[in-house]
Amino acid sequence: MESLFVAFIILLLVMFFLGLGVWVFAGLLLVSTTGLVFMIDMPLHRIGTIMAPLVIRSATSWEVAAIPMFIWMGEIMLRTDMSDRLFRGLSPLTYHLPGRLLHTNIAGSALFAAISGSSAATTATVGKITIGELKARGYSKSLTYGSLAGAGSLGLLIPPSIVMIVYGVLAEVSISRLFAAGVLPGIMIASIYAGYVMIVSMMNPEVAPPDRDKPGFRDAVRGMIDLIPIAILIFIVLGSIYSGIATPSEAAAVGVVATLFMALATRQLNPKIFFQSLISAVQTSCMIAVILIAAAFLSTAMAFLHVPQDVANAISALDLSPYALIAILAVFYIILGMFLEGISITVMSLPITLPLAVAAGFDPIWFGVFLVVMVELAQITPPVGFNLFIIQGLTGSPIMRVALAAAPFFIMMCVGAVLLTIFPEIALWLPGVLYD
Amino acid sequence: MLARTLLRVNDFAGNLAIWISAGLLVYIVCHISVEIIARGVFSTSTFSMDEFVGYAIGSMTFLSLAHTFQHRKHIRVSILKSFVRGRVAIAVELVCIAFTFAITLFLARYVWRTLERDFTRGTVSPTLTETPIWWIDTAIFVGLVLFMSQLLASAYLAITEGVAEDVEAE
Repeated sequence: MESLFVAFIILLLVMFFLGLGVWVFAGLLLVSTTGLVFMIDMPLHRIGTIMAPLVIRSATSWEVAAIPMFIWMGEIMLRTDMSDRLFRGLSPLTYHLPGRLLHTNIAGSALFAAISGSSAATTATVGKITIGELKARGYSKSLTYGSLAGAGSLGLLIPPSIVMIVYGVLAEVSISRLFAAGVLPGIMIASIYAGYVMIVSMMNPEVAPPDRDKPGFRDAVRGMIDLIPIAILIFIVLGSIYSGIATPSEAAAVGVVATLFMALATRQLNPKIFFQSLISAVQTSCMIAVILIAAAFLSTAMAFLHVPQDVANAISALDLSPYALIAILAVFYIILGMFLEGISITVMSLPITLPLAVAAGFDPIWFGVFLVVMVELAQITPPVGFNLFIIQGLTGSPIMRVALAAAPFFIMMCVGAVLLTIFPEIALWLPGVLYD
Repeated sequence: MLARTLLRVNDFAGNLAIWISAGLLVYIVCHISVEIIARGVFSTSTFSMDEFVGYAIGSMTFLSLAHTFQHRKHIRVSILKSFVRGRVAIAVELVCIAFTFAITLFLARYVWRTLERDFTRGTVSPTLTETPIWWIDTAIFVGLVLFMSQLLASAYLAITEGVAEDVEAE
């Protein structure tokens, strides 16, 4: 009972510091320090001597090197014509499906996710062009925003994925296996979205009105040509990992070099784009890295307070079935996701939830994919949902309107999470084929 | 007048540090590319990639901390912030800055002790390259000092010009 009280106090401290508006990384360090001082009377001197070497060691961890590089790759693509190419390439291919060009949001996000590790970069890059085009053609705003919000989050699930790298580092599992495990669930969720758009469009054809000029075979061929650079990048990044040429962290460098060459070859790279993308990548990766560093200290503090072990014991004593445990964790993550962004959720919860899931018999690779789906849900739940913020920024629509448009896709993703839990092979089959 | 000069010095230091960080990111990409080519084509290695890239990542993170903060790109939960205006908003901002300054000062104090110890003892990395560790401690310490300077600048600006808007992170 005492351990649950400690966990409750820690939660209150988190709510106090983060609710006040303290920056997440500083908030986590404050929670850890105050927790150690007030809960177990640890002297400040001892906390400092634990904190400093831990911070230096976490900061200089080689595994996180992939994060700034994948971010830089996304920043370069964001500033080139990649989103135009995606729309031009996909629109003749998707036009004849029920829902027509709404599928460019879904297929475009799934494709872009395969070269970008970030949900925000995927949503912003795809949305930059599709929102305007779909609006001009009279497509349903609600379905446009919703499909983009939902599919944009696939950037986290379809490899390469920054959140998966973070999970892999913290859970000490193979990042290559995690990447492989995310492929089929990503395709499954994209297919569920596409199915939903088709059903809604068949019930109400006005949501996706036909164009005056229907694209023909020649347009489809031209579209495929537009998609070639994207296909080449996917092939280079994922190919370098699965051919054994590069590790996932090294593949990020391969991706940056390939993207720079691609931008240079298409005459889009200039000093302004190069330096803007570089500085923006440094800033974003700094923001992520300091949260990771602070979370590493939080994990250590929690271990000193025996929170993960005691909470795990307390939940084990409830004798929940594995499915009941996963259902409780899902609700926990959805609630966290309303207030926190993905990386904070991952790093803060993992010391408690991973041992619980593993003790219940879940594979840590499978749990990583499940966690990423939960983080994806967090991207589209108000009041704090980054995909919602991005679409709000792109469209000027109020956040609640965007959130309502995303609600059906939230439910569809929950359906995906249920399928993933009932059929864990959806995640585990591909890594098994590739590595066992 | 003095405050404005100090703000300009602070901006200059932050800008210099972010450009060094950007240079480190370019270095990371180059080192990894060289390693892949060395391994794949010449069946050899730089024998220092993990180590040096790790140092570069750590230095990059802390040296860019102040500039990233100045551009309001660090994540925070803005529930309370969205409900307060005017002087109350400034007070809340100052409390947040004070908490952040306090924990950063605490961390910087112990990083300084580590730096001092590594320098006086001449500690080197337990690798082939035997790199002096105090270089890395120094980069992290300088990053923390710049960040504290930026926090003071932000507190001053919050009082004189009001609370700046946060940028949504990626």
